[in-house]
Amino acid sequence: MSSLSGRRSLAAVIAVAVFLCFSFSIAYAAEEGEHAGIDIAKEVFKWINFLILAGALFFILKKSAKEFFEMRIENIKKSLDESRKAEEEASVKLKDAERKLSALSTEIEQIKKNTAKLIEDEKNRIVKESGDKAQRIIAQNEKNIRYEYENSLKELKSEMVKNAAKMAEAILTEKVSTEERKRVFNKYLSMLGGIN
Amino acid sequence: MIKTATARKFARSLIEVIEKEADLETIYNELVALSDLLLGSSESLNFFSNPGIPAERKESAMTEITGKMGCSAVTRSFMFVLLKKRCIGLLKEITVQFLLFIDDVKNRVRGSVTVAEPLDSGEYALLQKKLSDITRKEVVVSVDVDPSIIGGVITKIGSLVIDGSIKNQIKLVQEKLLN
Repeated sequence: MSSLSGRRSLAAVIAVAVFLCFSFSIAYAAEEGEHAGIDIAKEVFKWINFLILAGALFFILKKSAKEFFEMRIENIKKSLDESRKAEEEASVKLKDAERKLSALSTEIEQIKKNTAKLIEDEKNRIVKESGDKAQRIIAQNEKNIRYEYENSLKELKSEMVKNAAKMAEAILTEKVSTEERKRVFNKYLSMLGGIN
Repeated sequence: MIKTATARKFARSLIEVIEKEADLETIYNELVALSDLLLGSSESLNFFSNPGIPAERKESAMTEITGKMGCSAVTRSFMFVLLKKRCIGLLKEITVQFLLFIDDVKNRVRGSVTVAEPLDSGEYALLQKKLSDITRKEVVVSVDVDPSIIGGVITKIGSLVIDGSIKNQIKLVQEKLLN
């Protein structure tokens, strides 16, 4: 609203200025056209006209100009206040941004530290798990080897015992004499006596 | 199985009609001789088994055979029963079952021994005595010679098996070594 009235005052000032320029140019043209000597009455009249005009203008424009300049001052003050406020806000924002920036760098450092710690933990975990897994695999392999070894040993032993038994049978079949057979027979009879 | 059960029934009925225990062995021997004679040749077996041949002719032939063999009255009667029942073919099995009944009556068991070399009479008698002492019955053993047992004796009496062979000893040692 105040901006609208300010514009009106400005328009009035401009109109008066144009009117004055127009009046002066007419007066100058009239002066050029006559090319006569200076007429004091005319000159006084001119001055009176001028004063009337100036007074009228002053009277007419006094209020508007005052309003205009007051408004202008007000606007400038307001603009200055706004600028100051904006500057203060900008300063606050700048400080905030600087604080945030500072905090950000700290945060980045913290994140870096955390990430490094996580990586270290993960690495340790993987190493530990790998170690455990490797231990388990080694233990299982050792178990398998032991089982295979024992199995092979058992088979070997079984085969050896079977062969030994066959050899013993063959040797005894060949070597056992009739006397020895009789001795075994008598032992059998003794054993039967024991049963009884 | 049915054949054995039938033979067992005939053997039981025969032993029930024998009054003297002393006659058991005699009758058994007569049955063995008749079994060998009648079942030994297919001709005689066919003759007594053939239903086309009149019973009178079979009875006549049986009378003649048992008479010539000097069979006892019990044996003769039993053979006529078998003839009438058409069970002459079961005579061998009946004999086996009859022997088992005799053994039972006489408190006797039968077994077998396996040895690597034949036993002399003294060894046989000793073994028989020992087995009799164990079973508390008279033991009649048949001897089988099997050199693969190397030495010692394997005795089987019914379900009782006493393995004292060298082969078995080796087997036991083998099992002990493996365990």
